[in-house]
Amino acid sequence: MLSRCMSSIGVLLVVLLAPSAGCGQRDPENESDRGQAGEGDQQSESGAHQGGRTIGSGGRAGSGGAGAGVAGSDASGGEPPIPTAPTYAWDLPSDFPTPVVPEDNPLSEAKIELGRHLFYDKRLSLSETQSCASCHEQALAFTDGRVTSLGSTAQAHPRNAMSLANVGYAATLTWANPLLTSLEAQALVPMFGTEPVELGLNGQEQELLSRLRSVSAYAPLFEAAYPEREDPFTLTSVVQALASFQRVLISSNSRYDRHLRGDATALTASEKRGAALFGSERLECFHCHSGFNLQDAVRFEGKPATATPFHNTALYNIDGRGAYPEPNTGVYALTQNARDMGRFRVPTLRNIAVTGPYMHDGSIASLSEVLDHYAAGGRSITEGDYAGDGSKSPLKSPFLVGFEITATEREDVLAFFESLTDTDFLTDPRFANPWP
Amino acid sequence: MFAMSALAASVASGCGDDDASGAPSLGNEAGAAHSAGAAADEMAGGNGGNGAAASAGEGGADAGNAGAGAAGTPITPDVLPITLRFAPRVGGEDFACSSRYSDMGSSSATVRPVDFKFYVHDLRVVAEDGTETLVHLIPSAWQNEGVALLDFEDQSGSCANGTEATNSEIVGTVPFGSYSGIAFKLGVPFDLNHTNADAAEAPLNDTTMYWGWNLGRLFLSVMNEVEEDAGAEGGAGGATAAPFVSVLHLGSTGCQGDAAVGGVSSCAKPNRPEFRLVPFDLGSNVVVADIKAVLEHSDLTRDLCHSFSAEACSWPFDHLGLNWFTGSLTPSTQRFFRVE
Repeated sequence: MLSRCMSSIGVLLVVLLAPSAGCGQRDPENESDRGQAGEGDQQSESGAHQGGRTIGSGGRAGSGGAGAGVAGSDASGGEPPIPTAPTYAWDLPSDFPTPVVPEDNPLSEAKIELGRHLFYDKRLSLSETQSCASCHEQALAFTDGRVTSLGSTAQAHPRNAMSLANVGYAATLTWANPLLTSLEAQALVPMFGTEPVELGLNGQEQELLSRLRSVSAYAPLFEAAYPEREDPFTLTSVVQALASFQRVLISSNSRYDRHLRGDATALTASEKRGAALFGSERLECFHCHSGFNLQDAVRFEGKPATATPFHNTALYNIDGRGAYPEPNTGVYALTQNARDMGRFRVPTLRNIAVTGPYMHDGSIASLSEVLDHYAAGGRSITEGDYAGDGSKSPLKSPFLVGFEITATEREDVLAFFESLTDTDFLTDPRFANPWP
Repeated sequence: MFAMSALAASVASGCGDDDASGAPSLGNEAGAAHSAGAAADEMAGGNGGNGAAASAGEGGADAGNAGAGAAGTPITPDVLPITLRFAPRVGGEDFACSSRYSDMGSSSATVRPVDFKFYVHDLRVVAEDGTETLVHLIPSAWQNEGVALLDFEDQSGSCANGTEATNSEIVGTVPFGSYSGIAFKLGVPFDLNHTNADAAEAPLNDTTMYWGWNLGRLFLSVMNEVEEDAGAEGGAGGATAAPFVSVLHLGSTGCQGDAAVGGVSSCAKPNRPEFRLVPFDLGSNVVVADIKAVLEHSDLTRDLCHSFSAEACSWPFDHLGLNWFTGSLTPSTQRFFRVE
């Protein structure tokens, strides 16, 4: 009801999210909708999408409120009630759960749009050389293609930039940080961090806010996003908007998704065999890359995070006791608990073919080599400072058992990885740079 | 003996002479009349501990210091305003962002300051009999909820990435009485430490002291730009790389989170060193904060202590009164603060 109303009164709420326009994604009775969702939408007000999909105001536009009690409903008509408080209507495919939205930062279309402008604005680095998008490019599923990233002062970052696809579902943020559980808290790290310097804004928030005030495009954006704030130009406003934009970066329309939704032609035979191998007890991939987001540590409405799985994938074993090289020691760097050495978060495998190089330090160049690593049950480094046999690490995950794989099977698994690319997501204008 | 001098003219009621006769009314009994004093009771009870368990307890007690109406605490004859003054030093020299300091650390480096700031909380006055009474901090841009920020960089010279404003004192009130010393902790109490900087009240909103990835605050930031050897400067013709900046950042480490709840649930090493300066006369003494002494055994041409590295941190931690390896407090090894 609400989503339809929103559409009909021209509010962008429904336009924003997932291309697949399933109904009642939280309603198990609608599971049978899987496969049909979205295919028939004819509306084109916000631009055509690949595969004939559009987003927007079709009668089957998604339902469901963001935890605010807006129940999904069918497409029956009726006069739209004017909402007294803006409630965000997620438009998610039926097989996707609703992301958690913090109570103190409810989603709104205006906040998301402000966040998009901020995300792509180089004023967010002190030197005005980098924006968030500098290390998180949409075409690369919001990664940067580098082994490890560079900050705005050219200081090297020790980590590989993570994809932001479906980051709103991640139970913890960044590569190995059980403490960072909200996008709001995480946004402060690149902005103000000094270890290393990323955007270099530490101590410069007044400079940032005065820069933003001086841009005429921002006044209406901030005012629309925070109508209740006397002066909306605050650091909290910036942080909340950035978090809101990232929260709606939903990737849900890969060929693999369409396969899951019943499209028998979505995957090739090789890709289907690869999917089966991926889910096999022989390769063991699925234990960590599990569920709808191919990632074990997720949370969403109705499923709070109950644990924060981090795993040592046997990339290093410098001292024979499982040590990883500084400063990339994983969760250990924070907790200093020996059992946390080398433990990192599982990244989603969505769009994995475009997010290389791989691993927390970008130390594996290709997906084929990633397969080699897991097939060997760990990486053996024979010389240099990092020499050691990861497969013998006492700290490695029990799923790093190694496996044999034929050449054909390898091709199949790699083909399956390619099927996880969501071209709609990579080209979606709603997530693109809004600046001229 | 080292009776506290009241600094406000309005408190003229013979505090300077107050000695034995005043003492019995101090401490817990007198404190009960003041909201700040009530918190002091808890604080005194929690002072002994260190380690993980103590840190959680500390936070709760400090929260009690944020009494309603605190800003308007009337100056009455039974409440004394106090001002605790800090003097930033580099060895025997005054700290200034425009200065350069030689013979620093184990490699006798010459440095220019980049940053010098720290948080103080749980400030107490100590009576003759050793009784401690929490100082109620008067809320301002520099102090809130019992936490004060001491900030000595003024954006000049090599401190270019700082802010112009500085603060070298803590202003508060204590129950009327005679006090012969002070005690305080470096850092931010647990309950206030792990909050988001963007929404926090000053001085906890200082982003240069925010430790985002560790979801907490830096308790102490000392950074120095190291000058190259004169001999090494010769050939490059001016197009040299940015100078190395040595870092000493103190904060809680070994923090654990619970993703179901969010945030930080505990920290194995709270790293809040405690200092007890007795005797100390609030009217005439200042607390000298000497970074040269803290860095005496650090190699400033190389050391980056972000609290996590044994190699870079164990010496400066020792000089701050902390055992880096165990996280325990070692007050006798501190060289940071002295009385003048």
